[in-house]
Formats: sequence, C-alpha cells, structure tokens
Amino acid sequence: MKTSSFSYVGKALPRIDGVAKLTGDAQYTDDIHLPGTLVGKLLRSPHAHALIRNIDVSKAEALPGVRGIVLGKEAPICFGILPRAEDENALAIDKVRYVGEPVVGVAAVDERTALEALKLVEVDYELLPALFDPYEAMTREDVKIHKESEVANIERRATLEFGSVEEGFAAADHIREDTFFKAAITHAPIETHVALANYRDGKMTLWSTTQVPHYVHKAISRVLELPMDRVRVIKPTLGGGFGGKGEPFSYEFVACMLSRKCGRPVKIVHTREEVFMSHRGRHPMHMKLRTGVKKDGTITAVEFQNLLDGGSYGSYGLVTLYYSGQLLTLPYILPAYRFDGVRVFTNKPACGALRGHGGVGPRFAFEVHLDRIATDLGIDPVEIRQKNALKPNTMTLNELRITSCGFEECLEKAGKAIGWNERRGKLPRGRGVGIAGGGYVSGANNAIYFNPMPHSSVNISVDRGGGVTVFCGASDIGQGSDTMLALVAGETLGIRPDTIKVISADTDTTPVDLGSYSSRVTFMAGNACRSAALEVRRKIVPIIAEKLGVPEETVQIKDGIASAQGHSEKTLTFAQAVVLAESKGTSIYGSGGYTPPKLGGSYRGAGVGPSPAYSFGAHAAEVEVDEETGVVRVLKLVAAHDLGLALNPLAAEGQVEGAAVNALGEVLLENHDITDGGQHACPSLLEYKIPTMLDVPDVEAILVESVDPEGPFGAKECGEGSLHPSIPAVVNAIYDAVGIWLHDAPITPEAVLSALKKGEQP
Amino acid sequence: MIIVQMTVNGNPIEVGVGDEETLLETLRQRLGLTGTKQGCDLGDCGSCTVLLDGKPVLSCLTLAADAQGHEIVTIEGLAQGEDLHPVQRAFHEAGAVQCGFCTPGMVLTAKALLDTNPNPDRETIKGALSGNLCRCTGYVKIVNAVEIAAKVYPEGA
Amino acid sequence: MMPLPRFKLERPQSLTEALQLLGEFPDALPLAGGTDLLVSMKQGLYTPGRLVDLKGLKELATLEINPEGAFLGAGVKLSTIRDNCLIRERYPALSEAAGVVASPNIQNMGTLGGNVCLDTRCWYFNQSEFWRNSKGYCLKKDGDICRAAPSAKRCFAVFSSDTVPALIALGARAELAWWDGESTIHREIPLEELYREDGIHRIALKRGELLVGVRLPAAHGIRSGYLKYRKRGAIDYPLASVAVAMRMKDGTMRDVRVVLGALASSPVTASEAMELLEGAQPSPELLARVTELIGKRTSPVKNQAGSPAHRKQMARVYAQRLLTRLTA
Ligand SMILES: Cc1cc2nc3c(=O)[nH]c(=O)nc-3n(C[C@H](O)[C@H](O)[C@H](O)COP(=O)(O)OP(=O)(O)OC[C@H]3O[C@@H](n4cnc5c(N)ncnc54)[C@H](O)[C@@H]3O)c2cc1C
Ligand code: SF4
Ligand code: FES
Ligand code: FES
Repeated sequence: MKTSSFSYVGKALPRIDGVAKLTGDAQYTDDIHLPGTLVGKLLRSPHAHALIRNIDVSKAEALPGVRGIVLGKEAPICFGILPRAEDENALAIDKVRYVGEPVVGVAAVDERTALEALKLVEVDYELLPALFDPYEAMTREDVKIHKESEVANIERRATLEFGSVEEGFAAADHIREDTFFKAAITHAPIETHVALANYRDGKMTLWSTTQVPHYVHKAISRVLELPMDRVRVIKPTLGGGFGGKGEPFSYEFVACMLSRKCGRPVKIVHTREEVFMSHRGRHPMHMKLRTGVKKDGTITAVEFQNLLDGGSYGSYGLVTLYYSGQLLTLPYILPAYRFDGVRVFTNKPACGALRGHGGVGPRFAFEVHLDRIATDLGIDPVEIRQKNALKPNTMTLNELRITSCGFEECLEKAGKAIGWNERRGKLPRGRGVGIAGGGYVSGANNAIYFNPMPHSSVNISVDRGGGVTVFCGASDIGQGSDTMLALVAGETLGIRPDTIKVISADTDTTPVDLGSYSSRVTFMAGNACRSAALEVRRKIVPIIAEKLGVPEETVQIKDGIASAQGHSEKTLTFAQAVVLAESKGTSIYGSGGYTPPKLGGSYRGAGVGPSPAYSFGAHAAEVEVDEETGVVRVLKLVAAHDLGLALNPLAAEGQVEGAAVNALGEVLLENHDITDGGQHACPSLLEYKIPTMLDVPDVEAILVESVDPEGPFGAKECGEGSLHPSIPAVVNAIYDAVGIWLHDAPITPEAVLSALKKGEQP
Repeated sequence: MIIVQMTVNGNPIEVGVGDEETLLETLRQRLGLTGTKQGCDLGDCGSCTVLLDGKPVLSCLTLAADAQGHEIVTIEGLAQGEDLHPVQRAFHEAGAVQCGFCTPGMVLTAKALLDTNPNPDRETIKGALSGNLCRCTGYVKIVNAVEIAAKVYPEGA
Repeated sequence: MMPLPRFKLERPQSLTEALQLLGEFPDALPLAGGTDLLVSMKQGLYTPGRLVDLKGLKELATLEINPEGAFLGAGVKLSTIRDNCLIRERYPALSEAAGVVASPNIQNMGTLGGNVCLDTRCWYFNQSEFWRNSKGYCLKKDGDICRAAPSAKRCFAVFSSDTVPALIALGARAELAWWDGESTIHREIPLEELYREDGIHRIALKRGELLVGVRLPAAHGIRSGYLKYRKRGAIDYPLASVAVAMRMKDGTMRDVRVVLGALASSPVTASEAMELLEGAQPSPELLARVTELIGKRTSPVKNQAGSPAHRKQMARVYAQRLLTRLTA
C-alpha cells in the first residue's frame, strides 16, 4: 500500500484530545473532585531492610480529622505484574525491603492532618543488614531479601545458547572482550502518580494514573477480594508514563482499602519524591561482551553476560532479564550466541520497565563494542553495520521472525544526514560524529499472564447522527493512542478522524486491551480497530450500494460521504446510510480483536522476545567535547527509524524526538542513584537531571517506511526503539572527537577528563 | 483566613485563603481551575506556571495572599470562547502536545514571551522556556509551535 | 503536595513596620520572592512562626542608576536586573549573573535581596523531612555531625548565589537597617563583609536586620563578566562560578577583582590571583599561571552534584576564559 492511496493515513493529524489539553479542560486524575473526598497518605519505611515488629496507630487514630488507617495485614494477598513474581503486598506486613516502602495508609479530612497523623504512627523496626551492591547480594547467603531465593539473592539466572559458540570463536580472526556499566535512570513523567478510589454500594471505582487498567483491575479484584465485576478501573487523561505507571502499585490498593473502610472517596497524590521512590525504572546493568569477527568484520560469535541489579522486588524484572539477552540478536546477524544473565535483589527501589525496556543497556554496550571492533580492524563503523545487517523476511538464530526490516535504509539515511563520509574522522579535534543501530519489538507475542483472549479488542458504535465512537481498553499515556484509533477507524470507514470519539481505558465500558507497554498499542489495538471498522463497513456498504443502485465493490466513502466509483453524481452521507440501515432493522456496530500469530521457539526463555513485527533504527550524533572541562555537548542528532508506515507523521516524529531526547538525558545527565544508606541521591526534578530545552539539539527524525505486512496499514512500533541507538551514537561520537572510549553511562565530565588524562582505552 | 481580591482570567474575584496557602492550591482547590498543574511543588518543573500581571511565575512558590491586587491568567483564560489563542492553536497544529501535563505552563510562558518579543529566534525561545520541563516531546515541536505562533502574532494576539 | 507548615503572614507596608515586626517576634523570618525560603519550608527546614512579607515595601523597590553609581533595592526582581539596559551596559557581570539564576520564570519572582541573603546549600540538608530522617540529620538542622565531612566541627554548606560574586567583584556595598526598639538604624558595609565561612551562621546580619539594597560604585571603564558551571543549561544552581571585574589602562590590568562562587560557604575573593594580575599585561602565560592560583584557598567537600575536584577545575577554566574574554 502506498501512502498516497490513503485519505487520512500518512497526513499530519493533530491529536484529538489536543484542544482539551491546551485549554485546561482535560481531566487528569488529580483534577477529578468528588464531594467528601478524603486525603490519603502513605507512611513509608525510613529503613532499607528491616523486620516490622509492631505497628501502633492508636495515637494517629485519635487525631481529630483522621478517618481511617489501614495496615498490610488487612490485605495479605500478594500481587506483582508477572505471575511468576507476585512478591509484593499493598503495604508491607512483616518486613520492609527498601527506603520508601509503604507501611501504613492514612485517610484524613485534609492533607496537613494526614501528614500529622503519619508522624503519630509508631513502627517498631528490627534492622537487618542491607545490601546495595549486586555482586555482594549474589553471594550473601546470610542475608535474604526474599526468603524464596534459592541461591543468595539471585532472583533468576537465565541462559541462552544458539549455534555453536565455540566454533564461532574458533573461526574468528579477531576476538574482542569489553565490560560496560549502564546506570539506572527513572521515568520522571511530569505528572506524579495519583489514585482516587470510591467504594459505594459494594462496588469499587478507581481512577488511576495507570498505563495498564486491565492488570490493575485484576489485581485490585484479587487483593481486595472483590469480584471483577464489582471493580471498575478508569484511566483519566494521563500525564506521561514511560513505563513508570505500568504495573499495579501500593497506592492504588491503599486508596481502595481506605475508601472501603471510610465509606468515602479517597485520593492519594504522590509527591515528586514518592515518584522517585516508586521507581520501577531502568535496571543498572553490569555487562560483559565477547565477540569474534572475521577480518572483513563479519560477526562469527557473540557471548554476553549481564548482571541486573533488580532492587527489592520482581516487578517486570524477569522479562527485562530475558529481553536483555534475546533482543541482542537484532539488528545484526549473529551466527552463534550465548547469553548468561542474572537478576539480583538488592535493598533499593525495584527496577522494572522503562521506555526501550530490556534493550537499552545491552544496545549501548554492543554498539560501542562493535565500534571498537571496527576500529581494531580498521573498518568504517557504518560498513561493519551494513556487513552484518539483518535482512527482511528472515529468522534470527533465536527464532525471532523478522518480516519488514528497513535497517539498512536507516543506516544510510542517518549517515547521509549527519554527513558521515565527509565528517567521520575529518572534523577538527574536539568534534566528532558517531552512529549506532537498534531494533525493538512491536508488542510482545505473549501476554503477561497466560490467557486465550485477544491482546486487544475494539468495539465501534455508530449513532443515528452518523457519529462514530471507538471503544477500546488501550491507554493513551500521552503517546497518542486515542488519536491513532480515530485515525485507523476513520481511514477504514472514510470518516474524518477528528470527528470520531474515542472512549478508552475504562474497564466497565471498553473491551480489554492489555495496556501500554512493549510498544504494542499501535500494532495490536490498531489492528483490532481496523478489524472492528471493517465489520462496520461490511454492514453499511450493502445498504449504500442498494440505495445508490450500484455494485458493492464500487462503493467508496470519503469525509463521511458515500459515492460510487465512476458515478460521482450519486451520493449518500454516512449519516443517511446509518438511518437507512436502522430503519431496516440493522443496527450498525462492529467489533474486532487482535491476537498475534504463534511465534517463537520452544526453548526455555523463548516466550520473551517474539513479536509480530520489529522496528529498526540508526541514529547518528555529532558532539563537541570540551577537553578542559570534560563537558560533552550534542550538536546534532539524527534519528532514522523504521516504523513500517507513518500513520500520523506528526505523532510519529514526536515519538522519535521524545525518545531520542530521553536517550540524551540518559547518556549525559541522568543517574537514578541510591546512596549507601538506601536513600535516593537525587529525589527531585532539581537534582535528577532531565534535559531542559537548552541541553539538547533539535532532533532530526527521519521516518523510514518498510511497510509491515501485518501492521495496521503497514505500521509498527515507533516510540521505544527510537531511544536505543542515541546512547551509543553519542559515545561513539566522543571517540571520534577526542579518541577516548567510555564504557560507563551516564558519561560525566569527570569521566571524560580522567579518560583524556589516561590517554588510552579503559 | 486572609481575604484576597484579585483578577482571575479577567474576572475580579474575592476569595478567603489560608496564610500558608499557595496560589496553586487556591486555583486548583478553591477556584476549581485545575488546568494549572502540579509536577513537583518545589519550583523545579514549571508545570504550575501562571501569569501574574502578564509575567510567568510559579504558582507553587507564590503565596495566595500575595496575589492581592494582581491580575492572574491561567490556561483556562487564554481562549476566547471557541477561538484558541494563537499560541494554543500553534501548539495543537504543530504537534507540541503529547501527554499535555507541561502544556499549560509552556503555553503561558510562550505567550508571555511573544507579548514582549513577538519575533524571537529559536535560541531565544529555548532560553525563555528553559525552566519548563517536558518529558515527552523532546522539545522540537514546542519550539516549532512558538515560531509558528510568532508568525501570526501581531494580528492574532 | 508539599504543604507549607503553618505560620502567620504579616504584610507590612513600610520598612519601619517590617523592622518593628522582625524586632518584636524572634520567630519571624523575612520573605521576599519566596523561591528559596518557601522551598525550604516545604521541606521542613524552617518553621518560622511568622513570615514578614517584604513585597509591600516601597523602600526596597528602588532602582537608581546614575553616573556616580547605582542603588539596587533588595526587592528588585532578578528579571528586572537582567533586562535593564543600563545594568547590562555598565555592570554586565551582574546582568549575566541575574540571567542565569534558576530559570527565567523564577527570575520573575526571585529578588536581588533574596539572592544576596540566600541560604547555603548541601546535599544532606536540602532534602525532605523524610529523607533527612532516613539518612540521619546533620549539624545544620536537627543533628550533631556534619555528614559531608564527619571529622569537621563545622558546616560546609555551599553559598550558591549567582549575583553575589558579581556584586562583590563590582565593589558593591550592602545597605542594612534594623529597629533598635526606638528608631530605625541604618548601616552600610562592603558586601563581602556580610558573609561568614560557616554554612550555618552564613550571614552577618543582626537579629531582625534587613538588607535594604545594594550600592554599586561608578562603572567608568569597568569591564566585567560572570560565568557559571552547572549540569544543565537552566534551573540548576551553580556548581562553581567566577565573576571578574577590572579596568584596562595602557594595556595593563587595574583594579582587578576575581570572586568565586559555590565553592565554599561564602563567596571567595581570589586574592593571590588578583595580586598577580594587578598592573600586569595580559598574556596567555600569565593567565595560565593565574589559573593555578584560582581556588587555592577553597577546599569544597562532597556535598553537591559533581566531585569537589572537578568543581575547582571548572572554576579555574572559567576564570581563565573570562579573563581572556575581558582582556581581549
Ligand atoms: C529550582 C530552583 C533553582 C534555583 N537556582 C538558583 C540558581 O541557579 N542560583 C541562585 O542564585 N539561586 C537559585 N535559586 C534560589 C532563588 O530562586 C534565588 O536565589 C532568588 O534570588 C531568591 O530570592 P527570593 O526573593 O525568592 O528569596 P526568598 O526565598 O524570599 O529569601 C531567601 C532568603 O533571604 C532572606 N531574605 C530575603 N530578602 C531579605 C532582605 N531584604 N533582608 C534580609 N533577608 C532577606 C529570606 O529570609 C530567606 O532566608 C533557585 C531556586 C529554585 C526553586
Ligand atoms: S555541610 Fe555538613 S553540616 Fe552542613 S548541611 Fe551539609 S552535612 Fe549538614
Ligand atoms: S509544580 Fe511548581 S514548579 Fe513544579
Ligand atoms: S507533553 Fe508530556 S510533559 Fe510535555
């Protein structure tokens, strides 16, 4: 399909909720006010690792204005986003595992009273030794963060092996080994986490800042022991997620528990510091790579070891662990590959999923490693990437099915835009260019918990005025999925997308979508929406054809007006057609679902990594390194991203630009560091350095269209994969500028100066 | 309680506030003007920006009592009925809004810039908006939007 | 939300009234733009019984610039100072410094007085009550040891004002006033004498004393500038900064003043460097030698983002760059 054959797809479409967001009308969770709402607050542990001996709330209860207090033992059922790692409680019961872990929930008439009440709660802790270093945690049998861990504090060891690694290395002309460290970063959406719970007549309604209403729905039902049909979860307008609102959290349960106890609505709004404590961000990764290559740069074998510092709970960590191993087989052909990874518990806030989940650390490491290999061999970094590039319609050695793949085009376009041939190695000292590649999933083939349902479902209803409403459980978290649904429905039906209403992310009224994670929404909900809209079309076209007296195949609808090919005088509005249909007793609605095809291998771990499609990308950066101060400035960043097809180029560019800037923060500024006592090193937007406008260049997004055979109109992922390559591109550019290799990210001026001083490789 | 008289979005109002109440609390909780956002409550993010006598200030660090006698404009006060302010329109059309949480503060800061400097270059725009953090957009389209708004500004504002 | 602790707000309309209130209530603190004080109060660092709001004081709003010098009222906003053409022309160091405080929107709120009387900062101190309780309190608030330098007996919290190094380099004097129970007493001191090398008792104001404004000498032939190092291009406090003012006469440097910010609990006058520069002809070799002396007398501790050694290094590099620029 060519873009030009579409009515709306491929053209810039401003978001359908844009005006509401620009006028202050959009309702975010904290903007919802129910009469009589109490303020909920969480008492959090000041200790990184301790047993709870006793909790005395009598003084707090006696404070005037306090309406209810809840404790962990009132909701002892565990939860966790992964069925294999349900290791959390709504509130800690007998043990706390990180500084900031919620222990008691209080509801009071106002915020100051609630905070006062927290001070009156007396918790008797018995301190335990706390572990912050994952290497230490791996061996300390005497200190168990979770008693279930079999070996010390190892949550899981994952090993993968494909092809003959030993033969691969034996066949290599050159073998290189490098170690890397990638620190944690956190999501830092500008909206903090908020929940508003209202328990009335045996039914719980929860408005929450969640990316995954369906999983929250299930978890609330289980933990509060309410049937699912007695629980309704609504995601109002959401102020950014990036993965940080991608699983059920303590505050959601506690708001519900307090509302049930007090018989009044309860709202919990996180302070910025509490958002940092909730975390679930990038895992710190300690990585070791060993790669064998032929003289011409052809890869013969790769060995990858990864130690993931998981923090105190499971979260998405097992998926992170496997992703980190599995996705290394994109976007290059690896003939033999071995992965050995471990996720370890430490007494820090749990790490989980963050934009680019699983692949970011390994991608940084591998792309820098690959540049070093190219340098060893005297090969151009672009050339070594072209040489090993993955091709369309192939299978990786770990059985990831590759359909569309525009990686080589991305490399070419990014290289061209940065002026690779004219500039690489030719700029004055202090300036340099670098390039890197990447690839990412368009949704995970397997749901987080096993179930036979579609991954996404959409209902479309049409009212008598011809108005079209799309119902879908998908969560617009700012990325624009509501607008995408309107666009897909509009294109399919021939109706202007900006007139289509979208009702989403409400478990009572919208059919299930698994949520906004793993870059799955455009692909999966988009396909479900297309299929629902096709059903509407199937119902209405015969009626139009009959009325116009033309064959069904000739009916076309554009901007809400139906006509017949070659008979432009014969027209009928979509609204008239709907009325006509209803008068014939046919009510017009459609529903559709999307279930990915069965994919992937049968080995242990094969479940993580398969996706119905993969995005690819290549980013090129130009940097300036100040050799006196160590400060690195990115002057230019080009992000070429193969997204299959740009349904809405405006939105797609926005995703790529946003992701690339996140990456620039990640490589040069941000470090979600924890101090030796377990406290956050920088729990504020002052000390945690997300980039300001003055810190980043105008990212140049290049959208590459490989047209995916299974994506909606050919589209696939674009908001996560577009983060990965920027990080190594900057690091590789620093080498070009001043001849130093940096293996630890983020890159600090101190590290640049010390590497310059050493004058040789680390 | 302190009685404060101020003009909010063109309407003179009188409201009782606590001594320790911030303007952000008053706007959101007493006046129901929830378009003004709170991202940090400590002056670090800019999402609570409102205009005080035409200048962008952080409402989370302004005492409500200090609004006495001043003119406050919040995001709710920019559009004239159905007609968006040129900055709002440009943000919409240029794709400068994603999650929208930084948007009210960005738009008001941009409006104040264009009110005093209708022809800023890209660097000036970035400087003026540099205290407003956005985690979604990567800023490119926000700066584009301000440039677009500037083009229509003289007749539009 | 981070609610402010309860206090009574006083809104005096004259300097005398304000001074009387401050004299009468020992638990009162002056409030100017609030961009420093209110943040600290939200974090539970200060719980004054009263805030004496200075916004109504016309005496603090004066801004006078004439050929003999300038008087800048404590209540003047940083954005006014940043945008004033005469200040930009005559006292560029001050204009540059005001323009890099925090962010433009904060410059619309923060006052010169608040910037001059800014509290000192430390990673162990500028945190929420929860954080400090978890980490353990320190000397500056509720505790009995310094967590940044446990063996020391003092507090090393950093004086992070941007305008003060510039003002001192430009030869500013502080005009102060207090109420002695019967009348308002004024005094004027060189601005550098306002500061103490002590993160806790950072400022040499008498109890209830206010800064009325800052007086600058005539700017004839003065060249000046300010450079600040911070992680991001906006919002961040300085990690190191340098202000320089001087005249050039017959190819030599005269009346040279070099002042460093954010490296100690008070602004630091780089006197060795100044001595070497005074009367000398600028040359790259000289500037390189001077750079070695910069920050000789400061030993920052690890209580800010960035390593102390690197912060010092930045001060050196920036001093050299600034001197090069001003002597060009
Ligand atoms: C996110 C953020 C970033 C910041 N970054 C910077 C930065 O980069 N550089 C910088 O210098 N500052 C920075 N600041 C601090 C602050 O904004 C400025 O220093 C500002 O100038 C303070 O002025 P104010 O009027 O708001 O002071 P206030 O907060 O009102 O007062 C500050 C202190 O001075 C006292 N005081 C005020 N006026 C007087 C007076 N006339 N006489 C006696 N005492 C008085 C107050 O009691 C208080 O102790 C930042 C603040 C924030 C929130
Ligand atoms: S320098 Fe020491 S005493 Fe002073 S605030 Fe920091 S930790 Fe506390
Ligand atoms: S909420 Fe006011 S600056 Fe963040
Ligand atoms: S659009 Fe989400 S923070 Fe700016």
